[in-house]
Amino acid sequence: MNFTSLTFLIFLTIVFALYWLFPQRRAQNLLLLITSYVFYGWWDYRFCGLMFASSLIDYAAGLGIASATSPFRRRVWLSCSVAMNLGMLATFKYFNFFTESFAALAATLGWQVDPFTIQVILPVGISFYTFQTMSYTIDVYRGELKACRCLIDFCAFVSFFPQLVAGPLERASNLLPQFERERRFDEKLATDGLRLMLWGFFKKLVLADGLAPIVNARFNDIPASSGPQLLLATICFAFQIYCDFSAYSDIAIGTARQFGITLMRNFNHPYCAASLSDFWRRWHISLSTWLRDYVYFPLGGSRGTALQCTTAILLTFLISGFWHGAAWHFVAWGLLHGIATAATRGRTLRLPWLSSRWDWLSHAVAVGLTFSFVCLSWILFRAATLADARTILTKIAFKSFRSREWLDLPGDLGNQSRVTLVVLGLFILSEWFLRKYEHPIQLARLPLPVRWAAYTLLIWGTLELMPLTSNSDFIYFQF
Amino acid sequence: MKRYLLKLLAFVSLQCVLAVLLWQDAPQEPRSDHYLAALIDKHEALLHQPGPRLLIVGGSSAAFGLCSPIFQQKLQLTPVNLGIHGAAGLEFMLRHAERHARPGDVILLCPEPMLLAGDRMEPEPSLKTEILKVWPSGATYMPQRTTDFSVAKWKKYFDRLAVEEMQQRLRRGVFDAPKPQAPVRELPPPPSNRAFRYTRSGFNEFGDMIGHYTEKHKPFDMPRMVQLNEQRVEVAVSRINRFVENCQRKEARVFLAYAPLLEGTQPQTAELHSILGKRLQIPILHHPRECTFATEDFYDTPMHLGGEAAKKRSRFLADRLYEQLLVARVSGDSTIRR
Repeated sequence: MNFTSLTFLIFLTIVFALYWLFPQRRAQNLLLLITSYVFYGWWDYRFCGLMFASSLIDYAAGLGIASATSPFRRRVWLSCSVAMNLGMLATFKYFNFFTESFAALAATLGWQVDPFTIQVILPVGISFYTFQTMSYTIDVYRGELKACRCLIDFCAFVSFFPQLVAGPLERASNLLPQFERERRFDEKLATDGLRLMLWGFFKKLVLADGLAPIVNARFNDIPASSGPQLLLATICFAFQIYCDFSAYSDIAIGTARQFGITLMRNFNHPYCAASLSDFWRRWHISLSTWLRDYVYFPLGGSRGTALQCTTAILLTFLISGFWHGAAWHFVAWGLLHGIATAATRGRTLRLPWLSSRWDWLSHAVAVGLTFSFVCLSWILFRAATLADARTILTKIAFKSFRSREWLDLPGDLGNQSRVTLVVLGLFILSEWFLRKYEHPIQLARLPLPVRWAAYTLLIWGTLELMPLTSNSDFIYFQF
Repeated sequence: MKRYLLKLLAFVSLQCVLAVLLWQDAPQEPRSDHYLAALIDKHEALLHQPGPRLLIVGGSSAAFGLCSPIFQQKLQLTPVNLGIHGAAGLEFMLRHAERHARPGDVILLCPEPMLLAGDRMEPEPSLKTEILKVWPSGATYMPQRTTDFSVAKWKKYFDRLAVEEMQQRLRRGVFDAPKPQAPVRELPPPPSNRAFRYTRSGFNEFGDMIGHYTEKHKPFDMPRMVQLNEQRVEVAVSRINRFVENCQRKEARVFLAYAPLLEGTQPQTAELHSILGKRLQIPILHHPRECTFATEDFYDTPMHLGGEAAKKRSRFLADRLYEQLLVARVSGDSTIRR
């Protein structure tokens, strides 16, 4: 069940009505549990069994850790949980990647190895909920969280439908206590949640789906694409993935607020970042902080020597790359960010001689440089293979400066694409000038008729501008 | 909570009112010269032409291969040629006609062989999209909405098609500035000094395609042999028989005429015609070999007769239809059997 479907809106309305009809916590949790499995099963009912198994094992692990009498037993329980979660990921997501990579490596060494591959469908959201439940068992092990003693509460926490499929990757310490206490309806929270959902629908349906044809036309036909076309497609992809992913998070957060549950913010205007470290504090915040707390800090973080710190950074970004996909170009993307983050750690991109005179210009240059690097790194993310990424980068680097090809660009675009680019321009301006707000339609201080007119315009504008494509899946569903 | 729900209800009600206004106000007939937009004119004629009428139902062979004025002169009926494109599917054509059949109507069913063979009951998907783009109301006659309303189809329709229809109407309502007084057809004049193209303006007021009448024959490939599938033929036969019953209930009479046959291809369809002759409960005006034409009589495909051949065929069918109607009048029998 996709967020951007009428089916979901009807589903949400029914769940909302039933949820507040029975304001007792246990009844609400049971309702959320059942409806979350219905939501998840709508994709494929077979996935439900896997998620339930994962929930059951981690619930047992949490209780086991809490009741263990020795550190050894506690470690055993934790290891079981981590091994099971990573084992599931390894089986469903990485098995074929590793066997095929091993076979390719063996072939380069002259050995003929026939890779054994398995035909499995990647369960939707597996990367998210396995990491979420691992955070629970690790937090219980560390003593930062009490083990949950109610299976319904725990399963509802794991399967909570707004954030199940594509995040935010919630921490147990933030989300689980909300399931363990009574919830009250908060009108302000719910109203702002609706605004956030509206903004999310706009970003997904108009911008992300509207930019997709521009991106796909070039990335699916690299040999026939010119340097300027690929450069435009790269910039469009940067905004496509941002709008797509942040839209899902916005809708998820807004939906959760209807139930009195607060999810963590997942994006904070990442393209306004003035450095790479800043970018990673603003992009996919839930995953970045998870990796920081469970990988980077345990590896020593910034407390060790420069070499140790650099190693920790590289390993963290390597895992981030792997998390995103079982392919070498994702790994390369992660490593590239790791190297660049390690290299610029503790340094600023602002030019001192410029900062002293025009601080705003210096800041703008730093933002521009960061955005340019992130954009170019997205090529590794979007390209199907490393070879394709190399071709694109080469064309952009050496063939983007032919004025004739730039003049041809507008003609290559259809009417829908041109409209989308105009809307994108307005969106970029709103991102920059309204960056202190969570979203640009926080219009609570304006009179009611003005607010309603703005929302109405946004709704009908979205309906008018959204392209009529048949595939409207969110990009991060594939992870 | 109460205040939140009331405000939400008020806001949603406002959007619903806007939606209804935009839905109602959006003009249903975009001013397009697209070939398929001729369906709008045919539909208008079907709704408003005074009776008694001769409704011609079929694909492009009916559009290209029949000359309505000849029928009008011979039969004293007002012709409405609904023929447009075989890939629209038999179901769509029959639904459109039977929904608006009136007492006293005579319906001449002349579908292409592939439709009679059951090879195209449903519309071809890309053609369906094109039809709905130019004539959204045509969705009413499309089969997918009401047959086999499985959960999967419901999900797909509800999730995308409903939104798509709303967007189509909204775009025309807001950006095409409806002019209620404007005539339905504000079209460029038919191309006189340019080569024939498939356009809405190539049709006459009866729905006959006449834009190609002055064009010369164009070489085309010979039609491929169609593999007959008895089950599919049975589906088509049942549907046609049901169409006949529905029309008879409305006191309209139905006759079948075969599509024009290219000389030498009669053996390919002999088996099909034999089955149809036995199973169809509908008067068939002629044997297929009585309506064969030479290659030069066709315009650009084995289904599209040129101008002179269309007139010749029309005279032949009008005579046969006249005989059948005369027999019916004399015998006082409104339900004719062959």
